Amino acid sequence: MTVAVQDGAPARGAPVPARKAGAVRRLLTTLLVYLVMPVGLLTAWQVASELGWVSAYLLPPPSRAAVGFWEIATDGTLWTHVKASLFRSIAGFLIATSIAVPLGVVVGWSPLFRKLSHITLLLLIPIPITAWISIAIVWFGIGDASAVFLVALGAAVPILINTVHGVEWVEPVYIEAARMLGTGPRQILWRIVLPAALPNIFTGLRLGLRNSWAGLVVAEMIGAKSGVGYLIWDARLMMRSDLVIVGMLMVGVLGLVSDQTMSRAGRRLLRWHEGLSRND
Amino acid sequence: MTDREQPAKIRAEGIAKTFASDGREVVALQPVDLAVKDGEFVCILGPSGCGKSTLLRIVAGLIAASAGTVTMDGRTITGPGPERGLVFQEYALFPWLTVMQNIMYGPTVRGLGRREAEKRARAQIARVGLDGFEQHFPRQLSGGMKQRVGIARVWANQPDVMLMDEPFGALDAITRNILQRDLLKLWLEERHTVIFVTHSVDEAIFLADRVVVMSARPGRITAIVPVEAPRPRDLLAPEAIALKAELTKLVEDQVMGARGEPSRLREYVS
Repeated sequence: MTVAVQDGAPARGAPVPARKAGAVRRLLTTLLVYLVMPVGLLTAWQVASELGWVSAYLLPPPSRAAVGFWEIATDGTLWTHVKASLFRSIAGFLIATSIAVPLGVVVGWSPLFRKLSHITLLLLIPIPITAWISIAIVWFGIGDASAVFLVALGAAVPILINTVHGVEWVEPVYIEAARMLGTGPRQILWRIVLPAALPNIFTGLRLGLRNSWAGLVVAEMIGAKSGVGYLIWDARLMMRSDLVIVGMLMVGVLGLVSDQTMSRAGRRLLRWHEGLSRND
Repeated sequence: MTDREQPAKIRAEGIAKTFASDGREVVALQPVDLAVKDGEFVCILGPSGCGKSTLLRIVAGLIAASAGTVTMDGRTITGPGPERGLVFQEYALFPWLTVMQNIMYGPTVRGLGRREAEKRARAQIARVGLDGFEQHFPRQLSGGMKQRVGIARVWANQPDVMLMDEPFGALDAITRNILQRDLLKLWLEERHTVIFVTHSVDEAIFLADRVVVMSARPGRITAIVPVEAPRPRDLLAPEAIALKAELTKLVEDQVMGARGEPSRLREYVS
């Protein structure tokens, strides 16, 4: 019998079950390592509450938060708020992307625009998203528009900065190679600068998305009557600190899911890029 | 030798380049005259900083000369063009394109159509020995393979003149030798004009019809040495060793000369 080696696995009466068992054990071990911290924290928190070390109002135990979660999950309140937040988040992020990416390309590509916008951007960028809330309510009133505006603003700043950076610092040798191969001046932007800047643009999108949650929560606390931020704010007024915890964890979950979605999309889109880290 | 009277594919006349650096003017290239015949393989040999890459980039049209003109077939070069293909030391492959797409790039942007671009790319992939790597991205290739793509990408444009800027400078010695041999074999098939910049005396002797020796600070041509041995050349043959000794001395003398010692090079200028 010839010894065929496929995919690095020996074909000769290989101890396949043992291998499989080993793989499963490794997977379980990995899972265990990842779960140690969250489970440990939850347990410690629950125990501290049971023993009366912290007051149940200041820090309601996980069991009470779970009951609260069940309560608003089953009566539909939670979904209403999550739906409102998701809509604002997606709308704001899309608006931010469609404005900040083209603007960043123009500013990064044209030294004149870079100079024209330099001082303005230096002044506007440090203003934190929370400082915009008042003017947003003045302009857009209470409701979706204010929240969408703040989300868009929160997302737009990192997107803009990273796009400008990516476009400005495209390796000149790519442009030289493109010109040498017969690329016209107009095609340079589409064929070379944009793809070369794409990793940076994508970093901007991801940072922007992360940043936008702050804008969303603040806007919903003060400038809206629905959404996860409103849920947190309203729960505090109602002295329901268990629901405050639920609302905060919901923001965490939404952020995590959206960030992972972006990361996956990026890995697909940028599979040519070597600087892409595999584990985040 | 007076280059001026010969028919030439590429002719540089009085090419000079001054860069502004920190408000001071740095002379990168003193006026240089050079004529390269159609189908000739010319190596420009010199130490780093001698302006040999500057000269090549001026011929490529990527930078403008401060003085003088370069002509190709009698027409003045004013910018880059696909009839002069440049191979970069750092490969300069487009990392977002596959091997196939990189090689198709030139014909595609020039509007030759997808079908023609693909046909040319496939032919070049076979020529440079990259079959099976069409769908790889540059980051998945070794340095030697990257430069094969760099060469194939230029050839897909069917240039009249190939300009090579230390194309094998970043490769290990073994890969470098293999690529030199492959390049020579493929060049012998078509015998297009090549201007090849290098700082390796061996490489120049192995490849060139003529070796143009340049000196540093400021860059200028100090000698033009023909290599007449038939190809493929044996670098261990006595004539090759003698030539290597001569060229090495020429290059090293300039490095010494650049430190203020009197240069004895003028006599070599033919």
